[in-house]
Amino acid sequence: MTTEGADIRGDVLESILSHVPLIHILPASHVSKSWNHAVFSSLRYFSCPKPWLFLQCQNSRPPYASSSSFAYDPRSNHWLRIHNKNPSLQYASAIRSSSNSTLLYMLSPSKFSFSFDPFHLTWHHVDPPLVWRTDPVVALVGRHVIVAGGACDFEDDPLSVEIYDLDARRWDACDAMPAILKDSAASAWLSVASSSKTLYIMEQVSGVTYSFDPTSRIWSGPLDLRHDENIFFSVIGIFGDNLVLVGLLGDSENVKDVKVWEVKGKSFEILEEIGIMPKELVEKLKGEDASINSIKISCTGDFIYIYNPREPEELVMCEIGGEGVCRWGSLKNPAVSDWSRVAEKMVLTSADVGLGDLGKAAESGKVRFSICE
Amino acid sequence: MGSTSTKIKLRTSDQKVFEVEKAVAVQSQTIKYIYENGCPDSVIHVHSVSGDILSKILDYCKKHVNSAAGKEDISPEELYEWDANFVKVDQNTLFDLILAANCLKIESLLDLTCQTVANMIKGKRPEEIRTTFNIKNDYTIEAEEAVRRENKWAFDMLGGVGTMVIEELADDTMSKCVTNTKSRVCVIAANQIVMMRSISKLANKKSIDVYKQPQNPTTPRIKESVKQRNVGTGFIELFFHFKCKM
Repeated sequence: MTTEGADIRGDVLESILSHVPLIHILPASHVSKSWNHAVFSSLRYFSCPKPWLFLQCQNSRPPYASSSSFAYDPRSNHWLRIHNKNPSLQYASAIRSSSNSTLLYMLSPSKFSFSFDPFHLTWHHVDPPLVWRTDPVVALVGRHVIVAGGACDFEDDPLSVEIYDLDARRWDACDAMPAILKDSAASAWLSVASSSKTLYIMEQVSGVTYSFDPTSRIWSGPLDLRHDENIFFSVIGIFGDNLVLVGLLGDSENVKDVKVWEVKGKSFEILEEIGIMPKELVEKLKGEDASINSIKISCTGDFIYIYNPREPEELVMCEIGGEGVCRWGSLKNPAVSDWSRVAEKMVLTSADVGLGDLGKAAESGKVRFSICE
Repeated sequence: MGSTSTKIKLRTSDQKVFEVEKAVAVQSQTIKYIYENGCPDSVIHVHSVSGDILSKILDYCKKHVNSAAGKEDISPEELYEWDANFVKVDQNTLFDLILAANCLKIESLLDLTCQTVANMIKGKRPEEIRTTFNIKNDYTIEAEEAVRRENKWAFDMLGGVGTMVIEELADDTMSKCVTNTKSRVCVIAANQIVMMRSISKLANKKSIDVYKQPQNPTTPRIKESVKQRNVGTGFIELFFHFKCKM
């Protein structure tokens, strides 16, 4: 490149960089001052980072080692395989995810471990909660980790709630969950969404929804979030300052539609339908079975990742654009082609991943990425 | 004139004139705009594009128009291959194509050429990118450090060594890492960078006692001592012994 005129810079360089996957943009930002500016400008104006979806597959029996991890970057439409180079993490129990975001936890009688950074490199290990639980709701709200329900049969109170304060480093008990949730006070029946201030719990089949503020320790509700009587199953997620509701309409043998609503208003009384899943994607969710009994979602920023736990080959991605209009797409699950589904369990999280997060992950020396072709 | 073979004249920066079918020329949004808003009989000046480049671009536009209109029997795979061969040119020509596609606003060509250059960037370290594109590194050491500190990370992505992450910073932690003698060592604890030291400062010292005062009051305070030993050409092993106060 000897002629001055053939120098790439400015918005041409930024345009080029918008085609470079995030993991390869990191070195590009180090090339020179103008490239550094171009990288940040490109990420800001041309093609901004979008929330990644993380898939972790692990053995469902001890030693619960994590067998493979994948991440999807919607910005460059690439799946990445995450190689764990430093598996020093002791898997005392299975890794689970409860709230529809980035938190992963492991709970055993001797330890409660949790992680909420995007790549789950940092795990916090604390004493377990007082009540023995098998399938609790676990969510991070601000600087509190809330553990609710899921108590073992021999425990007295199935609705008990404990809060771990990250700053004070101690557990506190507080008011139990509302009594109406008595028969369904476990993560299997509840959809959980947590913002930085509030926890929202919706019973997936009935739609009964309550909110919890860990500062005041008060449960509020019930909230009426199902305005369409055809919904037989629904889940919630956080969308900005509001909530999104993803509902299955019809019945499980014959799902008519999958719709997305934005839930707004001071007491969440306004429901605005913002998207309907295209029929061909509903068919992908159904998979070989013609029914959908339940769905799970992971929701970060403008992205909702939806899947059917019984048919995990195809995932559906919904990007909520400006004016609340949804853009839909489907993703082939790279983990499914690798393994037999019987012995392995899949856990999904999603998180914002920026250049800084990627840099930290790369430097920790614990992970290496390769793009799945 | 409503005939389908309306021709448009284009004059390049080096005074070459090309006469092309309207359908081909309006693949360029710029030319389309000028044609629709200016006088369609006169010649359109394409100042920033030379004859050679415009000739190539017109080949591209013609191929794509013909394939879309069904005039040429070409499958999507064959068109994809044709595109791949189209961009097998020297770097100068490639950049000229990008600049021209940008200024003529031919979106598919801009995407194709940008993706080609993007593929040349993927998977390379900064030094390799500089070599490929003949770019001068205008970072001074201090500026480079400042950029890295600002972005809270210290190494480039591929093959960074010399970083230590302390998971649980308890009193009396021993950690070690292997690093090459040219790099820096970065210690991260409680999700914050608490120490960054260049190896050259540690060289020739058997041990160093440093008390680091962090900026953030909730960060643990660390007193560390460092021992080092050579483990091979250009690599040293560092032992960090931490005493910390929470």
